[in-house]
Amino acid sequence: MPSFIALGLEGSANKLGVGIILHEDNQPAKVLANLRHTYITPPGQGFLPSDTAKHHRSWIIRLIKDAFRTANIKMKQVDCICFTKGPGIGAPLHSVALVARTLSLMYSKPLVAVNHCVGHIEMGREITGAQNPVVLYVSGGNTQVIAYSERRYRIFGETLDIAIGNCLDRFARIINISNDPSPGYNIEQEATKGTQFVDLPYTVKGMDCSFSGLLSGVEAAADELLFNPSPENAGKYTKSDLCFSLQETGFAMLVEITERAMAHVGADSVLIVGGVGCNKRLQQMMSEMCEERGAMLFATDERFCIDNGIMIAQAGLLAFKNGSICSLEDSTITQRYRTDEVFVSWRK
Amino acid sequence: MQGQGLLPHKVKLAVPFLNSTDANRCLQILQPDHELREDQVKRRLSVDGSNLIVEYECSSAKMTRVTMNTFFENLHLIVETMNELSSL
Repeated sequence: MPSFIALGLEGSANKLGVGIILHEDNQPAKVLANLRHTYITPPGQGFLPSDTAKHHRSWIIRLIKDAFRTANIKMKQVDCICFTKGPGIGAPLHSVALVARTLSLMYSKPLVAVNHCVGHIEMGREITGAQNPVVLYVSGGNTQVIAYSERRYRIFGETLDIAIGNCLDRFARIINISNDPSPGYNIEQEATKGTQFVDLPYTVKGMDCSFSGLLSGVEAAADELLFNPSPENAGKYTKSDLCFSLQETGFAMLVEITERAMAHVGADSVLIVGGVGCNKRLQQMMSEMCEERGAMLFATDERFCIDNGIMIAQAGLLAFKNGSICSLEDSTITQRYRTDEVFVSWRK
Repeated sequence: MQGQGLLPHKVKLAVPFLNSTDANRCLQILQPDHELREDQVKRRLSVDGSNLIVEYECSSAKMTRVTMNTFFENLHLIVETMNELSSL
């Protein structure tokens, strides 16, 4: 059985990732290179599509060169070029796709289009060895509870409006928290200093959840308790208290819908993927629920949780080995791409 | 083209490449994407010798500027990739 090497290119949000992965028979996948550069905006500002695309355009060539140098391979050893088709933000996705197409033509390598969410799931499975977990996929752009069944990653529950990460990121802007290395990371650090819990809207609807009410609630709380407090509230609460309260509320919602999905399918493990999956408090809350159920919790570190190119290479190579190649005509990008649209040919 | 009066701003570019292979490659790379506002921007790509010929018809001066801006950003990225990543 020959070995395979895939190049993976990711740029659906503000992280640009280039990964090179090696599959050898009966061996765990080997990460030959996993490089990333993040477009970080000043505090109080989010990232806009055209600026993000500009960042990706200016970093992708050097990142690809560095990846090949790190992996110490030549393009002729690469079997396929994998790129994120979606979901995500149009302009940045497109700039990465253009480079993928260019390389594909320059070196006559097949293209593989990858669903970003499936990338997270497959890298999580590979790194942790989790067999058939309920997957909680949580990031700035996505919040889904997923379970595998009959060749599809089925969405059991999701946010009805914004992602948990979006809620956190937007709150970070309001209280002017730094975006370096990421707003979520800095909220997590602030939250550890919080001592007082502020009641905020908790919204779970069956298998789904909603974070827009929580965001409005914490924005109102920031106004009432931090920016324009009444005399009795003045100086009573800190932004750490609000960060703490926001996390406790939002993460409890995630634990609830994850548990509901586990009960529904009789799962004995949970895998958390996506940027918000790095959060230690979320991991802790989830592990408490898992312990109560006698279930196992799987999570990865920031190399794989946060958007990266290696996950695209991994998911892409699995699909490639089962015959999934993307023609140039089909190598367009799409902002909306449901996780369950992908035919998971590589699993039974 | 239908409704030409609705797209009065016309731009025609000839982008010189080293050879027709590169020009054709660039065309293949740009071809798959549809213009976002197809009622306001129409694009035609072709190759003439070693030149990539790009023709745009746009509804307004603003659409023309935005479209050309994006086109040049994309073209630059493709050409830079061809130049810088030719010996991986």
